[in-house]
Amino acid sequence: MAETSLPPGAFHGLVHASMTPLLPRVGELPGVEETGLDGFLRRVHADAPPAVWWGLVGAALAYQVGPLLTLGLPWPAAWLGVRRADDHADRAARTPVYVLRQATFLLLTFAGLCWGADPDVRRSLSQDPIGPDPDAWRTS
Amino acid sequence: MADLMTHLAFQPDEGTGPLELDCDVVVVGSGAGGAAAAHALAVEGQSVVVVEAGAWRDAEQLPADFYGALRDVYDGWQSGLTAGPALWPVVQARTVGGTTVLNSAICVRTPESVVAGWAREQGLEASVLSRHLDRHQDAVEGLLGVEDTVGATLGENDRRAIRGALADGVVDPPMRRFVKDCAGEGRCMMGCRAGHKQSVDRGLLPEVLDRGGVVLSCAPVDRIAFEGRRAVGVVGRFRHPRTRTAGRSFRISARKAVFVAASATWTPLLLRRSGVRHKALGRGFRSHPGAAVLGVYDDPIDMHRGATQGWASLGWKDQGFKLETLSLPLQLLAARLPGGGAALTRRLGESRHLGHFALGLNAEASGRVFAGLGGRPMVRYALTRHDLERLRVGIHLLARLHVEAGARSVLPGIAGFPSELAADEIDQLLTAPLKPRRFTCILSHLFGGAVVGGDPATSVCDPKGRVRGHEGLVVACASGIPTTLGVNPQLTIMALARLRAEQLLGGGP
Repeated sequence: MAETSLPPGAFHGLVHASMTPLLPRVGELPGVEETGLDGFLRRVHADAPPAVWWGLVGAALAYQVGPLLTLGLPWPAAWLGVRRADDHADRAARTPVYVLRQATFLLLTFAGLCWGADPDVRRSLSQDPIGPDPDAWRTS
Repeated sequence: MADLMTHLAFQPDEGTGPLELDCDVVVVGSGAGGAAAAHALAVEGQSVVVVEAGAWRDAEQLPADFYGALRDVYDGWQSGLTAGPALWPVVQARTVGGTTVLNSAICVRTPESVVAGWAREQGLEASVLSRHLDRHQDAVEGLLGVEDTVGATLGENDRRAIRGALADGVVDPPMRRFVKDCAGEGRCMMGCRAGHKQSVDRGLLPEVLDRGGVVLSCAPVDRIAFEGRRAVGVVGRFRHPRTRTAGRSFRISARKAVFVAASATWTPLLLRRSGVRHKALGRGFRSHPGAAVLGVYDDPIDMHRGATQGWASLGWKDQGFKLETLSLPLQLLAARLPGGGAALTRRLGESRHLGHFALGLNAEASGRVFAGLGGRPMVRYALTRHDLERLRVGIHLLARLHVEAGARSVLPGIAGFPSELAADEIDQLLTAPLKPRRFTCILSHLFGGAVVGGDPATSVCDPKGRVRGHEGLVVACASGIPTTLGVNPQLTIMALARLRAEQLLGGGP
């Protein structure tokens, strides 16, 4: 996956920290953090229209304050221990609070794009690897 | 007319002034409607310029994965949403060929009952309108080529759906699709890199070029130019497909007409910002909202093998929906499965055992298209209670088909409801809450916004697709379609666009 030279910033870290617990490693199956998430987020930041990137940042913010709603805990999701972080990930995706559920959905959509493209993940699920990105169009 | 028989892609702004072209007809949009109209006009000897906001990608240039598809082919990274009780994605493409590049190439004739309704409202003989539409549908099928989806093209997901429907007493004919030698690679939603799908960029636009037409890609139109009430062309500015940098401006002059075929969401906005005023403009938006149910099977289903949509059924159309299979790429499954965290990863580890059946609801709801953030279209749209009741019935039916096809449980995707139901629990779905936010829907068949009709007060366009109050301005995309169809619309859109072209030249009803 092509990466860009954009340096990871605070917002990048926020999105990264919010996606990681949504798809953690289980047994032999890698978590999203192990599937090139950093490079993927740099790529999204470089490629996507600002509204999409800032939508992701907003979703990550909602996810971080979400433990107040899902667990009744007044601290950011990034401060949760592994077990509580996993509880929050599951509850945020199912919560009746629509804004938080939609925010988690957006994070999961992009986390899934990254995770589902990983060669190891695909091999373990009997899927062919994804070929090189053409990133091309007719110029004449 | 400049002596050009060509495709012109992004041109940087080098201070040389606007690109200027003359033609008989300029067509805004190159999807099902735009390409079909342009082809019909070019065949009749008209000089045509097609102007498309997106880039043109040959088969091998189509994206390798869904991330690339969002970046390259889906309109605005698929950021179009409904505004209303629920935020549902409004799916469409922004590329030469439009949504025909991304859909499953399904070919279904316009239902007779729909044509009869249009004819009645427009003061036409149903048999006359039907005959003309049939003629154009025949022509489109001949031009693009249609194949039955059978044999090895079907995946296990399709075979399970066929088995489920059969258990319910429904036997459907093979799905007909605009493909040639489809190998069932399951990547219709990202564009067919094997070149088997006969989208209009492959099946119609090359002949437009051969006949002297011009296609401008990466060329979003800012507005339609008028002289008095007469549309005389379009103006816009090239935009780089990756950097979104503004390029050279262009001005296309049209001697006979401007055809607007920019989709049910973009056409009303273009007309409005060009100065067209009608109280029905943007209104009358309709759709077939799609919902789906995953089935969990003991044996591998491997959705990635076989046609993306290899089975569809109109066996339940009287209940207001069509059913179909829809294979999801692995990259989209994380967002579709319930929950998050380790439980979700575990579930993804079993994804080979998932099947996915979907429904398209022939909704009675009507919405309104308006300009949202950055001038992009948004749709105010809310299903009626009756729609929601039918949606719930349809979801229950999908679950039943899964069970009859051998699923041990289903994942209905209704928020605040059990995320997994065993085979003997699916009747609980009939009590699911009728709240739009609970359902996970998408809008992919879009109609209206600049509808054709016989009543000047309620229709933006007259029965020939001409925008009322103006001359030389014709709507030739799904925006003009005043009702839902209950079936996949691309063949209807193409046939109507051809009819508009014929009517411009003095033929048709």
